[in-house]
Amino acid sequence: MSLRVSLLAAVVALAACESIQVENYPCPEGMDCSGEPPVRTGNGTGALGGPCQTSTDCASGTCVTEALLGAMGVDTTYVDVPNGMCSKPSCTADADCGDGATCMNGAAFGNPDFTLCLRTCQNITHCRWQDGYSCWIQDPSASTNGVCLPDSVIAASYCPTGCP
Amino acid sequence: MSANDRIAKLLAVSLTLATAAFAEEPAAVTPAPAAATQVEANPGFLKRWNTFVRAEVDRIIASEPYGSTFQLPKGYLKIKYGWASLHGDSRYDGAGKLGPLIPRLEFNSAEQSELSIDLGVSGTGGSHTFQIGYGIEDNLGWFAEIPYSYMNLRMDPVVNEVDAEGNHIGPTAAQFLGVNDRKSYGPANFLYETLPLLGRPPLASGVRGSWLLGDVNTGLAWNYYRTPRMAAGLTGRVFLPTAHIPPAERNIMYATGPEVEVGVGGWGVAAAQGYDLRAYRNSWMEVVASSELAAGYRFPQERAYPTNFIKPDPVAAGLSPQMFPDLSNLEGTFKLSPGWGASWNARVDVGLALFGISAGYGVRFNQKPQLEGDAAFLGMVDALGLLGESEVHTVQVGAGISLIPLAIPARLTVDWQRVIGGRNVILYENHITVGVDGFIPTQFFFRR
Repeated sequence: MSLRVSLLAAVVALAACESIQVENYPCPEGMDCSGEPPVRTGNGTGALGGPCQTSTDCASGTCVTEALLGAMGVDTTYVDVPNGMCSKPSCTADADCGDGATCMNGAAFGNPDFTLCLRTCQNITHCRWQDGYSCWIQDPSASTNGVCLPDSVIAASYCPTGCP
Repeated sequence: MSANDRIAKLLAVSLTLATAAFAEEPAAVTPAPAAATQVEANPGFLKRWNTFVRAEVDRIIASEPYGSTFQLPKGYLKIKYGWASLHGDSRYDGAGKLGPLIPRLEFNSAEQSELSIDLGVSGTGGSHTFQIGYGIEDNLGWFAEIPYSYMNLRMDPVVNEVDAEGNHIGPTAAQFLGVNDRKSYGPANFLYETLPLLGRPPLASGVRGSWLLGDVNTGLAWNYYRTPRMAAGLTGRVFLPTAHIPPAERNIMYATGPEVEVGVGGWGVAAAQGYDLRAYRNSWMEVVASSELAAGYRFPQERAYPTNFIKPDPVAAGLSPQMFPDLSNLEGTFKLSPGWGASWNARVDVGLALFGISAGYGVRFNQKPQLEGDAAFLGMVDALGLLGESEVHTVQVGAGISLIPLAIPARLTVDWQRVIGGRNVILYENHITVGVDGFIPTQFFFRR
């Protein structure tokens, strides 16, 4: 009996030695890999282009929502702004928006009469793609940077009455 | 190597020589007063041991000990420890072609290769295996095996060039994945940008594991037929659901990480029929050919889904919808049925006094594990091509030596094994196993 007990104790003791260590590939510069999925730094809550519920969430002072766009004269029938988007309206130049942002008029929203600071991007991974944002490059042939916009806004700019 | 054919002979000789060693010990070394007192105070031990050994030698030799079907004599306990080491960085695919451990991820358009990734999985590992056996009767034995594994696995992805201009991603894939600089696209872009876009979290680059419990198994072995020339035996075995199964979030089976499974992780049963033929025998040498045919069944088990998948970007996932479906809503478990397997092993053992050498060949088949669960998940696993009917052919050579000259009733063995072919199996290289077996005649030490 004591032999059996000793063997069982040995098995349990060795099983308790089990260990697993996981290593990750070095996180690229400009990304925050602490969460899943990894995100571009600067896309966090409060940053320009980041998610928000009210304007007090944004360092830039304005949280763009469907309601705000409607008040700015945008037809929001086919437009939504998933989880809000921090921005700064009424800019006149990129310098008004700070690093990593571009001053754009509202043409993409169907109303060129207002301006907004939008997050600058080179590709979709710079945007909150998990929330439904993409990198919209106004003139792809010009090799210029784009801006992060909700997919629905980009779609509406191509199909103002709703894409089929 | 498990040269059971010589166990009894070794036991007999070891007991004889151990007796001689015990008897000579007081004369060979000037005893310290305490030791001398102990020896003198216990003269009955050596006498009893000598009598016991003489009787055991006669009894064991009379039972014609040879071959893998031979069982531990009644009342004998065997304890074995085996340490194995191996290396692996390649795998036979479903067609028997040797390639990387995880197949190259390739996306092609009609015109050209768009993306080609070698995940670069490689690693070393091995096992610590403890075995215990006991002779219930002279021809019936019980055994149990407790395997532990260790591993050090790495993943070093390489993004291959897709054209002569040195681009690492084709124009179509670049559009799908929003890549602007096609030349500088590299492993970090793939792991931290492309995989999340495709709905997969970044892969772990390495896993170190130690003392990972495998499939503990136990059973009975019955040597039902034995003559001086031929012997046959049956072995029944039950596998317990003890193996450490890697989380689905880093399991090589789903290409979510580099960690390999160290066991099946479910209940199972197996039976084996063994035959031994003593082809040659003289006073100092014998040659034994052994064959064992085995079949087993591993019962279905529930496995957890990976739950760290992300909702893919619909445009990016369009690159390969079957390999990258939206699996962000997976939760709960799916059913894995490993099913049937069969194997055949053949070996020739040559025993030369206290030395033994062996050479063998083995083949094993396993059915394709059946999965029942989320259709998109199953489609992804199928598309990866990592689960399939498997077949592996191995060759093995080994050698053993008794520790009897040291008055230790034990022996050391060393084996080298190599996979020479197969389908859907990892090619393990430098597979070396070192073992030590110890034998204890419990009826001598524990009887009152």
